[in-house]
Amino acid sequence: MKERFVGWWDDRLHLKDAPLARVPDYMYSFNYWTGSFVAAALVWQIVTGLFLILYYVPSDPYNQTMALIQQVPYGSLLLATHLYGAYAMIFLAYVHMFRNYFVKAYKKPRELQWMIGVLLLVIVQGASFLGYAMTGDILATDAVDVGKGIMSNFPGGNLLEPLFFGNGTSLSLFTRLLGYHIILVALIGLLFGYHFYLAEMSGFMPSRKKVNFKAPAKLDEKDPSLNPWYPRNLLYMVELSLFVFGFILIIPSVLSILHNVPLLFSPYPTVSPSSPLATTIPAYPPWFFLFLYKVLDFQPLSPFVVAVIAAIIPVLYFLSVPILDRGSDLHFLKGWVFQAIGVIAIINFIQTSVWAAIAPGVPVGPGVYVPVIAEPAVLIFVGFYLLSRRSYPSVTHASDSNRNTKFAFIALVLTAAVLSVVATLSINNLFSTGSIALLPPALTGSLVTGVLGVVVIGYRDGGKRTATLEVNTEKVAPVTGISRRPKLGVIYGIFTFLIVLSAILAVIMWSFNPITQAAFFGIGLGTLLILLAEMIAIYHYVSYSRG
Amino acid sequence: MKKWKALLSTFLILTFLFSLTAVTLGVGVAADPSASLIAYKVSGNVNLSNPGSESFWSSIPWTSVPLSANVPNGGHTPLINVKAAWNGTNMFILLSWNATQPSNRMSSVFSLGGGPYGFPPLWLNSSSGQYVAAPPRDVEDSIVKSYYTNSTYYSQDRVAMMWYLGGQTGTPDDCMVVGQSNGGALQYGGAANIWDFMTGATWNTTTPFLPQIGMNEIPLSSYYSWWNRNVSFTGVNYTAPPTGFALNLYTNASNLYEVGLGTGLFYDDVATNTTDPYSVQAGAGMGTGSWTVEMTRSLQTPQGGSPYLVNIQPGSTYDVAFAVWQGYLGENAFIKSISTFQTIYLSTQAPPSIVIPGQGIAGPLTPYELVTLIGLVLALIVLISLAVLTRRHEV
Repeated sequence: MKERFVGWWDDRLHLKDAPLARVPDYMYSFNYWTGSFVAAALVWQIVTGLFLILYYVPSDPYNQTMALIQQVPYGSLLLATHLYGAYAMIFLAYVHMFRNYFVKAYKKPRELQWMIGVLLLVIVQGASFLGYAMTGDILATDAVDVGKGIMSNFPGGNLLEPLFFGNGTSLSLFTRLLGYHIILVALIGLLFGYHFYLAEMSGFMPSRKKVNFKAPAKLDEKDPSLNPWYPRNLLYMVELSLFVFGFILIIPSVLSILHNVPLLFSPYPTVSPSSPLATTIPAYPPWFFLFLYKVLDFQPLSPFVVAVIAAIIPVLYFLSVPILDRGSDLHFLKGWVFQAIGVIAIINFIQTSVWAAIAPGVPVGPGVYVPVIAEPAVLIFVGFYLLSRRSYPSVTHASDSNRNTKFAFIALVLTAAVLSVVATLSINNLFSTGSIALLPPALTGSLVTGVLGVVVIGYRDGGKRTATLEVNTEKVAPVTGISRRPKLGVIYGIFTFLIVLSAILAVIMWSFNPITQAAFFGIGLGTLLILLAEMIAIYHYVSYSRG
Repeated sequence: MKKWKALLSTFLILTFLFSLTAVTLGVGVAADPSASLIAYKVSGNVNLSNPGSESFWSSIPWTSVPLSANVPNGGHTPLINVKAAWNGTNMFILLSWNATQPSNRMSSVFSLGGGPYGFPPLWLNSSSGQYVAAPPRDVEDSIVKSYYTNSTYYSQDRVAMMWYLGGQTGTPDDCMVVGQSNGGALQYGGAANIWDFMTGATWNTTTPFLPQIGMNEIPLSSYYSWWNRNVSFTGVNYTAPPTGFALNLYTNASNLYEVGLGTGLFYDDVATNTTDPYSVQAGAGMGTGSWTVEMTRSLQTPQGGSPYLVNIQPGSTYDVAFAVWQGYLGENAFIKSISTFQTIYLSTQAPPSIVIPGQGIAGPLTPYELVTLIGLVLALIVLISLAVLTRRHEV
């Protein structure tokens, strides 16, 4: 029956013929799937964005946005998660890019894939900026003004400005913002499709140790131990996507019930430009452009020079790094200059972003900003040079999966911490409102889930290490992870508990008022998705672990 | 390839040396190196009821400006300590000096012009320690104008900051000799704006006094608009002592004028009632042997104040000078301690934090120090992690 059902679908969808990558066991770790996190965030953005278009009115964007928040059921959640979905996408895209940069995944045969990825990151930020500006609040107005200011300094900027920002009327501005937002998202979709296709065609980049730190790093397609795309990869992607969706729902929902959230992280628009309070709001760009905003303070650089130094040159560099770094060595410190540049880029990005956040719009002279930027750079260059003088064996003894599961473990600990805060806050809220009916069981469940998640991943760690032992043919020292593998009875117990908790949550979260308590609904739904992700993780572990 | 490496190494070494120098010298690299005073950009505002208590002052060092006598019998104050800052809209000046016997509850006929209705002019009787009504104005005039202060009465302490407005060739080489015809060292065409703070009594007008001496009664309507407010000249409520008030004065090579009061009580007025007389606000704190005075004014020239009041612009350098009067030691009017002209530069940068031996860093880290620290810590974390990983052959 099952075969017939699957066969019927396969005859029509041809999924088995699709060039979808197969992977070995050790790759079922977050580290190898950073791209799927970004893809999940993109899916979230497209879905929420389509709903938001239904409510967007370019002739009166601010008031309509506020109406969406205040009058439309779950409207506030839709808007806040769309904003945080964009934030998540940018943050995860940076993580994805730098992870692949540092493992030198841009080398043969993935050069084009890398370049398209860099372009995607640029376009995602552009689309996010436009989306950020579409609410029409004072921050959006300031952001548009800064954007206009930079553009007017470009050669031919006077011609470009009306093209991008309209003829000066509010309607033409917001119509264009909406139009370009959709155009860029469509472009993201196209490029993402090709990026994904290339990723599947070239296959996952294997652990560098497996290829003796030499490019081209490719999996052996004839290796019988590789797992087919369906169902394990699909299952794992769904698990990761649910995690991403869960966090995109939970984080802005929690922020929206907190007091004194910094302006930069507020999930909702701030005041209208016509409000008397508008003068009290400092001009902040969205966080991912803070670095550019600070560099604009660097005297005596013109906005055009700033755009060239802080945006165009870095983008060109990352685009061309496959051409610049043509060696085949994948050791981190071979070709250390490129790695050092990557680290410095991250550090300078963090520095200037923090700087803009705490001292926005305060001009600084070269006597100040050169040391700020140069000192860590010099330290990194000198340090990398000295470290690069060490010798490297071509084969190493450590297990990849060991590190990867540690990463997963840390991620889950953070999850638990965040969820614990949520639970605590919800309890506070309960006491302050004095209404038992408001008890958000979703939040209590989230605390339990967080702790359970840590336990589960801890057990999975053991299982995964066992699996690695069996797959790898290298001489790897025996590990003690096997002894930590739980009995099936315990796993089934946890699984059943999660099912019951999810079922309760799935019912009770609808009791929250869809307008005034949408944030609680968001926390509940987010937690539910994380519970589902955990259940898939357990299923994955039980079904496929070879320990 | 070797050339490329050599170029890179040279660039790195030069950058490192430059940044090391810049950090060692702090923001001085970007400031006007010739300025003797630097006004740093700070966040926040002044608290005139408790001068010097604002947190931003803690990260700005004092600059000691030497003072000397301009005429015989003066020069009792050897130096004045100065700090300067601005917050984007207002200029802040903090002054401190040692005084032999500071007092804050007096006002002299000469400086208060006899005081309007309800404000008794007082002197301190140094032998009894009591505040007494000042002698008639013509008597006081004769006292101060003959450069004499007797042992019974003395005037209040004062401090003044002069902002040179230009008009003569080169930097003026002397200052603060003002108040009499061509009495200043400013040459023909030179002019200056003076923020003159008087440590005097300020009374709440709900307890009026009858005019004691000296002045004809002034109709309430004529001075209520500028005097009889809930605030004194200092801008601070009548909770003093110890406070006083600041006058906004203008001087050229001919004479000394008040700007905006429109009364002529102190000096002739140059811009009758067209300028807010409260544009310089001040507060004072009196110690057992010292004064701390804080003055503030908008950076831009107050409306109607041009060309008599200084227009202060970030990134610019100004010639300023200081004067201190110690009433107890017989200083008043022309008898005082004065400085030579100093230069003050309005830096667009935040002040560096000061490292005090044994106490660590005074004042909060400035944004640029914080982000430098973040960068260095991140770099160290990366390097240490990398060193550990390479030792384990993990990368």
